[in-house]
Amino acid sequence: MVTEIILVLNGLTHAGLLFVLGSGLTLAFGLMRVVNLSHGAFYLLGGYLGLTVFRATGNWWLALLAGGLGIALLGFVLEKILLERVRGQALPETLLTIALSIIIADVSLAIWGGFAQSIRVPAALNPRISLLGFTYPGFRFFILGFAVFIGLGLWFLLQKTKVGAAVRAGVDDRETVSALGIDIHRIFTAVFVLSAFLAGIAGVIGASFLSIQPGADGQILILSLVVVILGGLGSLGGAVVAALVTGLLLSFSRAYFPEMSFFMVFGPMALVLAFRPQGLFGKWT
Amino acid sequence: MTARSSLPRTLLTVALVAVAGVVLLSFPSWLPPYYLTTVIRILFYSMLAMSLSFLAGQGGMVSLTQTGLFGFAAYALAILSLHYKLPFPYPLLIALAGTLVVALAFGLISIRTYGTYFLILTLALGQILWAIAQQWTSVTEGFDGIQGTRAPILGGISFQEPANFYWVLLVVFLACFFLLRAVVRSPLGLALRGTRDSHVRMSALGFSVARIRLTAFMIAAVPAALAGTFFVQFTGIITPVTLDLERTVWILLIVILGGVGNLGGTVIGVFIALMFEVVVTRFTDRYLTAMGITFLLLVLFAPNGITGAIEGLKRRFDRRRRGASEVAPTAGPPGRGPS
Repeated sequence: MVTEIILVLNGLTHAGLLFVLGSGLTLAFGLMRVVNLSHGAFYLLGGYLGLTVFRATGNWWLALLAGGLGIALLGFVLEKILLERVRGQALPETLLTIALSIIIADVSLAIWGGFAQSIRVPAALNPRISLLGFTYPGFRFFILGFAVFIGLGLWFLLQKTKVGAAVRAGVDDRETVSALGIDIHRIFTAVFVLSAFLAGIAGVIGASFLSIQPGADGQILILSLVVVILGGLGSLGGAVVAALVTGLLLSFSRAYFPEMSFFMVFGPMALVLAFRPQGLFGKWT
Repeated sequence: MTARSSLPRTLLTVALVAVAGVVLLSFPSWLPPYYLTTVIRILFYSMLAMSLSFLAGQGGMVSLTQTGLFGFAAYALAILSLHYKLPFPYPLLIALAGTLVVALAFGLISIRTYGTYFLILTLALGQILWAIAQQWTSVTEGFDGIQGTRAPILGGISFQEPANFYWVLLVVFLACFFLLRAVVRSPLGLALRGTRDSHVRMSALGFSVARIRLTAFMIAAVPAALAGTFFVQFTGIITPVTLDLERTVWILLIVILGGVGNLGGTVIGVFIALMFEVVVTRFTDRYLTAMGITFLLLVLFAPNGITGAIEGLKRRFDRRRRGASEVAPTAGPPGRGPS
């Protein structure tokens, strides 16, 4: 019983991380039909930035901010100098993001080396919590809370603000939104930068409770894609459900079928797509 | 065949084919071993690239799962012949059949999606194969991969001999090339291009769009699977690196270099990509960065590839020769028409 509880908690933690990654990706897709395939590389670089700042200052919050803002800035620059050139052509834009992902991963390898590294979370953020006779690292609860906080923040932004209304309208019908005089390109830049910011933050969190190394970008990219595909492209609620399913499946299969955990994740995705090619909560566009 | 084809023209074609055939078949007798190895690599990577080029150019299906199928075939062959010690030809036959089963499953999952969605779905499927290759260590030996697969020795003829290996590969390569070309020129090819241009209109016309796309996907899996079996028998080693994202992008790069949908162009694409690798790794460890930047520039400035760029220059030259008064033919989008 205790094992199962721990596995559920681990799964929820993982789900939190996957949600932070998948939410930005799914919003950007819903808006512009473009999937940022350098999302995994953004995660990796965000983690490395956080690692460097943490080693220099010892301040975890500063590391989190550095990872998030650094990647947001990178996203902004790439968007302005590269992606806007091919705006409206989904395929070239997606291909450009693959190229960027390879460049970022290779440059990170040159700077930070090839071995696995992680951020040692300060004890203040990681109290040992006793629960039903076992201790559990408190940092994992913190991650879960943080993911819920980000989810609520995104929900508030989308449902309760004018910018959010424009984003939601853009997901449904870009042309009409443009015709109403809203600058849809500026909104897309904003969503893209927000999505990059979330990837950077996720990187720092990932570096703190997992570890980061070359190849982590590819693995996290698959998992985020699975979350986005399973939940339905463009759906925030879908990302929540899909992140929970994927996180729990990963946690349980890692314990019981450690060699097949990725295969287990692939199962529900294939099953859902067989009946609903648009994903659980996706709309055909 | 054009209406202008006459006896001298036919004779010329026959002569050209004969010369090309003699040159191709005689490679092992005069090419130095290193270059023969390079030719062999060009052939199996071209088969893989052809598979993607066909799908992307004819069907608008940018499938990033072809490298995964290539790797699956290679792994299956290695595992069956080394771990299970099955005699030839069973590992080869089971590996090919198994790859087609995987392709069928992947095809059924993804054919109802289009464009970018199809791309990321096939990417996710291919990357799951990569992750399994890494994770399932008791079968795939994880990062180290499986070493020691060899080509068979049959009736006293050793196919481990590069020359013999090359001849078999050449025949299979040409068979794949002509198979795909025949499909492109068949009614199926026409229907496939129809689904690429407007799947809604095609289904309104009564075509089963899903069946057309699935058939194309299965046909394209054949050269990818065959290429994987040649790859592992030639290099002797298969690791997760063969299935990873970088390799998939490398194949995409080749397809774009050769011109999307241009089956013969893939050979030029692989040749340039291999040369590029040799030259760049001589100067820097950051080969992947260089490849990424090249890919980026290609997508931005020459999306029709080298062959497209040459055709563009030729058109410009023709226009200048004919004089500016004549209206120049406009450049078609990539991958239109048979290669």
